[in-house]
Amino acid sequence: MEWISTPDSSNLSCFGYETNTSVLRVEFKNGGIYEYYDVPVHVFEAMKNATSKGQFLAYQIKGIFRYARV
Amino acid sequence: MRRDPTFIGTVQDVHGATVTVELSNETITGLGFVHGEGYRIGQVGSFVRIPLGFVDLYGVVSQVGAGAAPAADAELKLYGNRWITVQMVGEGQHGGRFERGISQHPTIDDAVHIVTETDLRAIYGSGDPHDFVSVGHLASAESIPAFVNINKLITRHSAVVGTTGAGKSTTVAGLLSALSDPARYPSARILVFDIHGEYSKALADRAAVFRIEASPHKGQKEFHIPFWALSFKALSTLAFGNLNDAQAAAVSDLVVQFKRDGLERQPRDGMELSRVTADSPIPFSIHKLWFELHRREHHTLIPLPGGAADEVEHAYVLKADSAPLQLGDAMTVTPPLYRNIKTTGPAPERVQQGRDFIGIRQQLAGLASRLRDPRLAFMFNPGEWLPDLDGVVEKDLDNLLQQWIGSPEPITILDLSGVPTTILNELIGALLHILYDAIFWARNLPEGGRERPLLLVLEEAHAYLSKDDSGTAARAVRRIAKEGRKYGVGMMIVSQRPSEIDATILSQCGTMFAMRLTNDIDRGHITSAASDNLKGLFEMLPILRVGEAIIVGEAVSLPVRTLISPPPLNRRPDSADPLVVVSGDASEGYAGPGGWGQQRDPVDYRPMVRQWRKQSPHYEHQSKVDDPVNEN
Repeated sequence: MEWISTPDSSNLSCFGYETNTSVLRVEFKNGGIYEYYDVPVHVFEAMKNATSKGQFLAYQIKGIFRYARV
Repeated sequence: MRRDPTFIGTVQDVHGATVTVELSNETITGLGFVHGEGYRIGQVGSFVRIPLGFVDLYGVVSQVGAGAAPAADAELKLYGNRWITVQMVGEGQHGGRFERGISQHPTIDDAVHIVTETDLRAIYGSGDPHDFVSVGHLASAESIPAFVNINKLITRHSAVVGTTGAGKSTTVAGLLSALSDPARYPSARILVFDIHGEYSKALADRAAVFRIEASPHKGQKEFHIPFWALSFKALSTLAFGNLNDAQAAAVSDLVVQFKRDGLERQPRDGMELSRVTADSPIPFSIHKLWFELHRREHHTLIPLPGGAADEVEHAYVLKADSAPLQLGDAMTVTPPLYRNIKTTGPAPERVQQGRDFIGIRQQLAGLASRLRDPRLAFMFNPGEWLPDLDGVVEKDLDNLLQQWIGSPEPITILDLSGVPTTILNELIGALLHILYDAIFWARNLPEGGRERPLLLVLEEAHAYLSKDDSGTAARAVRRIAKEGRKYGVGMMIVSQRPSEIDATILSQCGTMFAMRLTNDIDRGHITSAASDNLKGLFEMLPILRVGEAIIVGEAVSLPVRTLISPPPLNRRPDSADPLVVVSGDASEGYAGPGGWGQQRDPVDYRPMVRQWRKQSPHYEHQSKVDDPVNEN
């Protein structure tokens, strides 16, 4: 899995994407790790390019893809 | 001398170990500065030093103000009630070793000083550095590490108590990571009885996790405890429930016989046939035991016409071709079907009752359902430790013990969250019995407890160690509490209701980590069980911060108010309070995906039921595309 750390974000510490399973993994600064399922690869690419990862997560991923705490 | 900035007052009254001090008028209550460091003067729980010739006496402030003033003090108080009461705790040579207990008392007008960081270092850093492990830092001074004596902490047992939410699990995780530091203690050996499955995440990098319904991809291993390793009493309680003496004797005879048969087929080192008892850890088939007992209880007989009383044959229910309808099978727990008793009618049709029943039909039915119960498979169907009908097993107990207390990881977590609560007590008791017996007899070996001590961490101890609990767990813990020290088995008892724990067990805990405790009864219990006569310090219990603990007892040279170093954020136990509202806003994002403050997620309660049925919190996603039901 490719991990991208997000030092500029106030809430996320890093995120990564598993191409085979379409799982987006997000690690928050407070230690919580979550998996978002069935995320298409273009959403991940868009997240990589987003200026605010936290905002992107709140608008484009939260409420659309199913998640579970790991 | 009066210009010494550490000077705060003079001794005015000495009563046993209690000393009353009048603060000097020059002393500023509040903050004082010594060598550029700020010190709070006259804080309850802070330390004072009374130099007496070549030694320094040390004490803890237990009371400040009017209450501490002598009763007869009627003179005009120009500067208010400037009195403090101090409990003497120990003494030390100037700059030398600190020791508990005092050899001489202060007298009137002896000078009293605040304790500076240098003094504290001398107190807490004393002794052989090998004995001490840092578990955090003093609540009053962040730069001073709080040391505990690891030898005394482990062999003299300890208790961690505190209200829910006081940070108990995090503290225990912090303590365990300090105790299992691979650089300092490469051979640490800790076994955690994790009732709620909280610790596997916190200690993931240095623990082997055993669980019922393990998730192998998370590195968990299946938890087995073979029934045949249990003592007969534990086994009969778990398998049969209640048996009276006569019934237990009959069953135990059969168990001994099966164990002997098993031993004959598969001889074991150190065990002779003549020494086998019902308690010997020798495999036998409980399925065969059930089958045999079931036959005895239920079988019916056809007397042979004209034959003697013992010339009989089994009265099976027959099929049309006169073969038995169901002969039964021990391993699948299928009983044979017998015909009903018939004592009237022509002689060839008569069916008699079997002769050697012992009257345990009810208990046998219970055993049969337990043998079939998948939740109990970890015990009655323990994988490679399941004996076949002849009592032959693939693996012996050494593999099991090696897994539990000899794994390459310093910590082993037995995650008991999948164990039915009705048998939790017996199960923990049985586990402790097995471990303690093994360690006890191996005390001279490198695997034994004297050479490589074992720390047992008992989580949520009030659930199975209650006062009026005479269950196997309480018995086993009492035994370890009393004699474990000699054989290198130490316990750490963790509980939120210390008042519900048997006082004998609690009083055996040499070291106490008392965290915030609001309940009066619980506090009283702790105050009375602690070995230090420092009631004043325990008055602080309701106002401790999260993660703060008062450590008293044998492992610390002085009672100390400590902030235990928590593990890093991503290594905290799974017991943190869920956030009802997660901080953040829409433009910056939130600190987590849940909470009441964010828009709702689309719901699907099918996974919820799936997890419930699986009895596992681990979610495995099933893609919607592959699931046509979801399309509707």
